[in-house]
Order: sequence, then C-alpha cells, then structure tokens
Amino acid sequence: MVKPPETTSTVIRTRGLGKSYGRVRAVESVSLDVRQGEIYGFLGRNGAGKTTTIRMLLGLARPTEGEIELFGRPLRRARLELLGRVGCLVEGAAAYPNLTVRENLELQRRLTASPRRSVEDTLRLLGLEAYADRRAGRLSFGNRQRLSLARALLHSPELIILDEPANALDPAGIVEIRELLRTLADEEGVTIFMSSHILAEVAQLADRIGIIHRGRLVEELDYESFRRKGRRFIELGVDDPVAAEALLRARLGFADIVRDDAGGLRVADVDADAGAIAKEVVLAGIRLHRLLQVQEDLEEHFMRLTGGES
Amino acid sequence: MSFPRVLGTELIKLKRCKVTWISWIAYSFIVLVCGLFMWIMKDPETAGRLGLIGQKARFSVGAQTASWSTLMAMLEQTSGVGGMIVLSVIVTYIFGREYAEGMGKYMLSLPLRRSVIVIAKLTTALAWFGVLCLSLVAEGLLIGAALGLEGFSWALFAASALRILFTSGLFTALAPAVAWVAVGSGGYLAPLGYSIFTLVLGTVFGATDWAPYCPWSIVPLLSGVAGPGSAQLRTGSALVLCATFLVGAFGVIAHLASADNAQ
Repeated sequence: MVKPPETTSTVIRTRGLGKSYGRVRAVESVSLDVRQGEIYGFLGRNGAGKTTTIRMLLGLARPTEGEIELFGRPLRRARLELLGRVGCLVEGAAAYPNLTVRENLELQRRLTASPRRSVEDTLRLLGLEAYADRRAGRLSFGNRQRLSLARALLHSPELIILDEPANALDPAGIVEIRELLRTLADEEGVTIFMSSHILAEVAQLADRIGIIHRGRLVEELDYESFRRKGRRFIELGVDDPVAAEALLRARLGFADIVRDDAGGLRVADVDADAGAIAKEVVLAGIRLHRLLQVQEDLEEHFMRLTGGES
Repeated sequence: MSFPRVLGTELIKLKRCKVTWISWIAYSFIVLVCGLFMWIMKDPETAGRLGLIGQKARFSVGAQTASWSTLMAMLEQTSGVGGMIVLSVIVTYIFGREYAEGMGKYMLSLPLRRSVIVIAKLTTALAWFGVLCLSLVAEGLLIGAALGLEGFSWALFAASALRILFTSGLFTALAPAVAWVAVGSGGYLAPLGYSIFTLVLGTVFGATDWAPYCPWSIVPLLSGVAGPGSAQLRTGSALVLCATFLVGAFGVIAHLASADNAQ
C-alpha cells in the first residue's frame, strides 16, 4: 500500500468501510485515502464493489461498518455541507427527458444555488451549446453522458466522483473529457475519484490507483511511478518454496514475497536482484529450476491481482 | 431557505409533461360524463333514439330530473372517487419518475434535506390536484350553463363547490402513503397497485360499520358516493385521516433519509 504524504490534505478518507446486503458482503474493510488535486482511479471488475463504495461516499447507501470522511469531516455528521462540495456521475447518465439540456442544467443551478452564468459556462465547457435547446430524451447516449458530466461540474465542486465516466463516449469525446479532467485537477486543484473497469482509460489519467476485488481493496499504488518504471518482479521456481521464502526474507531482507499455487515464488521488492537470489538459493542447497525477471503493465498487474478468472 | 428553490425546480420539472395534460383530460372527462347524464335526463327521448340509453337506464334516469342540484351532486360523488385515483396518479408520477428516469440518485446526492424534497414534492402534487379541482368546478359551471339547467343559484353552486374542494382536500391525507410506496419500490407500478388496492379496500369497508375508521372509506363516505353515510362520520374519522397523513409523511421522509436508496 502507498501511504499518502502527510503534507497534502486528504479529501476522501475511509477506514474499515463495509457494506453488507443480507449475507452478501458487497464491500469489506476498505480503507483508502485520496489526496487533494489528484486523480484516483478506482479499478475493479463488474460486481467488485466499486459502485457500492461510491454510493456510500455520496450518502446514498448506509455503511454497515467503518467511517467515511470528506474534507476531513465525517460524512455522517455533515452530509449537507460536504455534498455541496461534491459533483457526481453515478451508475450511468440520466436526465429529465421532457426538459431541454439547458433546463436540466438550470435545475442543477437552482438546487446548488450556483451563479446564473454557470449554465452557459458549463454548456460551453462540455461542448453542449449546439444541443442546449434539445430535449434530453432525444439526445444520443454520448451526449446524455456529457449532460450528466455537465451537471456534475456545474457548481464547480472541489471533489468530483465519477462512476464509469467514459461510458458511451466516442473516442474523441473520451480524449476531450480526459483532458478536461486533467486540467481541472492540475490547474484548479479539483480532486477526482473515478471508478472504471476500462484499464486503458485509467492508465492514461490516474495519479494513483486503488484496485478492489470481491469487495476488498487489494492494492493502492502510486501509478505515476508504476507508469514510469513499470512493476518489476522476479519469479523463481524451486523444489522447496517455504524454505526459499524464509531464506530470502532472512538473508536478503525481502518483504514483498508471494508464494503461488504452482510452488513458485514472486519477489516484488524494488531492490530485488536476480543474481543475489540465485546465489543464496543455490548455496542453501535448494534446487532452482526457474528464474525470471518480469515487467508488468497495468493490465497484467490487474489480472494477476484479481485472479484472472472470469 | 432551500424549500422555495426545491419547489421551484419541481414546478419546472412539469414543463412539457404529458401527465399534466392527461390528468386534466381525465378529470374533465368526469364533468363531460356528468354533463352527458344531465343531457340524457333532460331529453331522454332523443337520447333513446340515438341509442345512448337502454330500457334499464331509462328507468333509473326517469327517477331523477336534470337540474343544477343534480349536476352538482353528481360532480361531488364522481370527484369523490375520481379524485382519489387522480391524486394517486399525480403523486405516483412526481415521486416515481425520479427512479423511472434514473434521477433518484442525483436528487438524493444533492446538499438538500430529504424532508425538504418530500415536502416540496407533496406540495407540488397538491397544488396540481388543487388546480384540477378548481378546473372541475369551473367546467361544471360551464357545462351546466351550456345545457341550460334549471334551479341555478350562486348559493347552491358555492356550497357544492366548497364541498367538492373540501372532500378533495381530505384526499391530501392519503397522498403521503402513496409517495412512500413509490420511493420504497422505486417506480410507478407498486404505488399504482397500492392505490387500486386501497380503492377496493375503501369500497369493501365502506359497506361495513368500520367505514368511519377506514381511511380509504372516509372521503367516499363524505362525498356521498358510498351512500348517504356522512352522518356516520365521527371525531375518530378525523383522527384516522390525520394519523394516515402523518404515518405516510414520516414514512416517506424516513425512507429517503435513512434507507439505502437503490435505483
């Protein structure tokens, strides 16, 4: 897990967050920190618990355990004040179909007590001027997605929570929205928490990534350094993996070692050196029959963490 | 104050909304049907020649005379049942559409008290229904005048119009429970089913001694649609209506405030 530096303020903090529906544990012990001005990619397969987590962050679902803090204050106690600083797109695009794009935004403007010009500004920002007087029910899926994004951005929130923001957008639209989000984060310090199951989208945008699998946050990684260096590890096949693991921990001081089901070991410590590992293992009399240095990209990393099975 | 803002947006949401027109047409249909009966009573021979009444109907029509008092009594009775259905449809639409149109989650993630949202929606529904009731009374006046009915007096009209508005106002007590079912089920179907069920319940209990204590029988009883039973109404009936309103209102607010609001 990557710990956020103490110097930046934390916008989202959850501790031991969990949600059960009857016997089904949708989210379990999720503790995450999202810093101000960063884009946090929340990755997971379908049904992994992404949307449930987002629903809890927005006060739409009540956690069965754990705490949520937004901007350093508990959501439970200051919901109204905190949600005024949040914009969201959750579980797909939606709008009142009988109202025009402009009227839909006007509703949001009134409900969030935003300035009058914010409607026209947001129409321009999302490239919706040409559709401003078209009824939302007659928009394409892509433009409805843009309208939902526009509603999320209209009141200039400090935190934007987006559930699958690229859904239904065409390739040019995806690039445009990506650039818009990047600008908001870099130039205005807006924090973006974005869930997705599209790895390429997250890979191009996120500063940090949290991977959720079967309701549990299995890893938080600093994607900036991951992107620069990739995730490197050493795989070795030995006849006695238990002894080899103990040896590497004791003699070389490695901490990030995982044993796989096939009797192999995976050493992911940054300073792991294949030569030193081979030497120690052979000198200890353990038979070494495989030694590989592997460089992982996000997709491989994600597939490995989430088991790879469908 | 967020209430005026939320109320304003609820009114905007009705723009270009087909249901507003459909509800007006449905309620106006009551007046048209009453007018048609008046015309048949006034001129049963022509109506008979046009095939508008059979022998059985001719017998029952023959027992009444076309007059302002008959028209207004008929409007009171039909609005006593029609009002219950129309108000349920309005409340179902106003609350259920948020879920049917996928906007419930956005509405609830706004920095607004959920009780304010509920009160604004109920106010909108009641204002909409109020306009329909006024329109019903006005259309009744027009149709009675157009038919040239006898026995008009402003005192008679005003007394009858007030009775229609009063009984319609009592339907307010039943509306929050419909809203509760709409938000609880997240759509249109369950509240409509609930409304039909309560209509049946009101009819069944209307024929029993429990009628003054069954919330769905009280208003029909008062409007005379369940027979001349308003004399049966007691103080307990008013308490039952108040309790029904409060349970429904607290139910819908509590549901939105505390439950998981799944879409």
